[in-house]
Amino acid sequence: MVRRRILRTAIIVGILTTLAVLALSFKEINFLGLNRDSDGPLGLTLGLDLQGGSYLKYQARRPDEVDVTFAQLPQDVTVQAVEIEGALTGQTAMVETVEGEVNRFNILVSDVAEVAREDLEEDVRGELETWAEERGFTVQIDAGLSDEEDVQFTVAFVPKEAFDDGQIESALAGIDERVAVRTSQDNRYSLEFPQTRVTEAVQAEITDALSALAPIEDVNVRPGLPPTDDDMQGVIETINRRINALGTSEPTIQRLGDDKVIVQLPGVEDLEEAKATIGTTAQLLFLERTCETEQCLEFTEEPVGDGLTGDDLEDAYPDRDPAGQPAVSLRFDGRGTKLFADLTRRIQGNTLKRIAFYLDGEEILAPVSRAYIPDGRTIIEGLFTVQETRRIAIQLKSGAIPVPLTPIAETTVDATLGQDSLDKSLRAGLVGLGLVLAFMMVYYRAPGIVAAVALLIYAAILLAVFKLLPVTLTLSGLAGVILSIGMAVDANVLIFERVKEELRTGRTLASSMDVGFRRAWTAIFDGNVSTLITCAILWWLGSRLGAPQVTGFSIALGIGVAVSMFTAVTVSRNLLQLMALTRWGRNTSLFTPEGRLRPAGASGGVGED
Amino acid sequence: MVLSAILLIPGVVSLLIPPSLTLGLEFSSGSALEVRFEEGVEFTESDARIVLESMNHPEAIIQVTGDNGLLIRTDTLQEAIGDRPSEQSEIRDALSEQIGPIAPEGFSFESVSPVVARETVVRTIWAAVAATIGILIYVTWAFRNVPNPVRYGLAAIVALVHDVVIVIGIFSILGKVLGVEVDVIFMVGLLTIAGYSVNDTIVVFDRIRENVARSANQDRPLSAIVNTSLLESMARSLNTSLTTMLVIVALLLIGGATIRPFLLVLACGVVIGTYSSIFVASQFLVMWDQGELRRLLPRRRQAT
Repeated sequence: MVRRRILRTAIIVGILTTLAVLALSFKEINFLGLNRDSDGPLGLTLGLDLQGGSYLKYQARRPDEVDVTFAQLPQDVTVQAVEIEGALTGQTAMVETVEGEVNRFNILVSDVAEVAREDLEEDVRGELETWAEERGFTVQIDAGLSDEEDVQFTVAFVPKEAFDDGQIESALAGIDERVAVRTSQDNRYSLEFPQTRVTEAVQAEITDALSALAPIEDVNVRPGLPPTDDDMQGVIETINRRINALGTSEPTIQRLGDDKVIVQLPGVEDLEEAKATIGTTAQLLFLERTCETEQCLEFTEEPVGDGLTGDDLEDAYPDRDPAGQPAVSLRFDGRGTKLFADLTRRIQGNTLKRIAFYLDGEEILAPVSRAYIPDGRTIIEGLFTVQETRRIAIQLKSGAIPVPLTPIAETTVDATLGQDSLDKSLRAGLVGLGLVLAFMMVYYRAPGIVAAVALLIYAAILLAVFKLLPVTLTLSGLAGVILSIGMAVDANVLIFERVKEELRTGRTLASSMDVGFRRAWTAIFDGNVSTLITCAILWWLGSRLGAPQVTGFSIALGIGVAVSMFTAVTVSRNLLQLMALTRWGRNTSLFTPEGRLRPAGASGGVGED
Repeated sequence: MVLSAILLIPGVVSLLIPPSLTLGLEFSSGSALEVRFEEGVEFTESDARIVLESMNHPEAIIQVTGDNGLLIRTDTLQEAIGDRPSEQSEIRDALSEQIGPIAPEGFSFESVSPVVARETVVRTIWAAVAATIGILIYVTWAFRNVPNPVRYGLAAIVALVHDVVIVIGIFSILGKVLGVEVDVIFMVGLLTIAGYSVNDTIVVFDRIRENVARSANQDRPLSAIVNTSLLESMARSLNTSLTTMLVIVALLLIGGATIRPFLLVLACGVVIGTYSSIFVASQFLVMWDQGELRRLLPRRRQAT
């Protein structure tokens, strides 16, 4: 009965081994939805350091903001309310200062007839402007609240030397092409730098550039916040899209921690090309699509007018449609509005016509136009989630990567160097394995052969697991595999030593194996578990640090240890038992290093020959 | 134990003298550039130094590498600002202008900001602490049926710390003498040694546990049990270490150059780990049992 069990296990082992070898011998596997196809040896997926390629690491951070306060200009004068009342010669007005503000006033003109209102505004404006001009101010006038009889204005006086946004932006364009003035009030401007990190050096440059316009009192830098999850998703998608254009095989784009991205491009050795592709501003292109059928499986496309692109889009933001569903709102600029109006007038309501949105050559939307849109403002409805609307809006508006990226590491691994390392290491591994097997066979004799076979089976199963999961093999991963071979050997050694001991105490071979195995197993198990704990912690550390070396090693070692535990239980034990069943099993001397033993019944001492 | 002291002291001394460890990029901060020039380009280290000083980096550490290249360590380099290119590309241009053309894929750089570097150090330390605690808990649990299980866990940890300190000490000395850097791979090696050492120690302890159970009714002193256990498991320990070393040595000699430092760490670890399992961990157990750890009290001999 025991015999049958042993044989049955042996058959299972045999099947597993055959499967493993099969898995390894085919380069491409397409089976039950499992699809593995890799260029590495035996079809294994190789990491960058073995395959050669480019490695880029970026850090994303939302744009830094800088608050610039220009010094109060010497001729800065506080305008008094009375002066304004005096300036408004044509009417009776009450002027009062807006609380808490300087040079901002509310003007109330009472008893104004309906007809006179328009003229009134013109007059007031004219008078104030003249007056302001003489004093060195510009004046901003907004019509305020008015009722039937009274008209109210809000007026702000701004020292003439203050600048408009455009001036500031062009002064700083040399530092960051896409610098933008976010808010401005009096002589305080809040600037956003989407493409540049404002380091101390950059801050100095900003101060220099703006001092040319006017003396600066204060510059305050607010470092950008870390990107949100949405941001990072947009980053990864955009990079993904652009990398696909390069046609790399199996690129890896990974998010690391909160704000970093790792891009691995095996086979791409031109680092500059890779960087350029990732860094370009995207192209947003609108095309008029004519469908053959409603399903629109086939279509032709042509540009809108003489080309409608992302440049013509002034704004895009997430919004809600009239039904309250998430949607994306668009606003075109002057030129864009005209082209868009033309387009929609022609194709409105025509279900065979679409407006195709292409971003970086890839289609992201192709809605039907439901109406004629003359004012360049439209909303895109679809089955979007709120997140999607946010993402699409970002992509449409900036067209570029949503959050500025800074490269923090780039390396190229030479393919030949990688290949060289791989060859050498594989060879060394084989040599090492061979030495170990030889040693085992010499020292432990019969069980040594068992160990040899078991180890070979172990190697086959291990590599098959690597191939099927798949696990990307790096150089340090290889080291991990080799170390785990050492531990697999260890398990066997433990078993054999125990069996040897039990034999020495005079047990039969069969029972020695049984007892020996059982006793050895606790040690194997405990020892391997502690190694697995270390692997788990290593893996955690490696993922947090973004070091593929570390994670590669820990995964390789972890799987190696796990598989070795399995093979120790099934394969080694089974083979030993098989051996005991054959006629070799009669000769116990084959099972101990020392040779012949005294037969059972003699004193339990060691017998040497 | 004397041997341990001999091994420990030079290492500890070296650690106490700053810089205790030659830190790799991930732990200090700054930028590292690797440049490989085309064949036939001749240069000396001082050529490179002149270039770097002219680029405002007198602090750069420059090493000439075997394949006609340079390894340059500087403070963190400036990134690209608007139209102006990044410092590393400026340096690259300067080097190729003043020294010679750079091989097609012969330029790589890595920058680590101080914030990230500090984070890395912290994380690594946490990993080490977590590993230690994890192992302690596990060993204590695995040996729960033995009297004083916590001792076993602590003994394993003591052996582990002993190993790690020696290896770090060795690398501290190597760092001063040969400029060998401690980087993330080194950390991996250390943690591997940790796992391996504990593995080894546990196997020995397993034997001790068994013998303790066996002689529960015999009143044998722990020291004697430990002795027998050690003798019994000696063969196995040595064999395992031997086979693992065989593989490591094969890799060291024939394998690629990149993993050599890592293998060196492993090799040291295996040797010292085995030594510590036999001579340190078990000693610790016995010493505790015999009360030798209370230094002030005299040794109590138990009746055999």
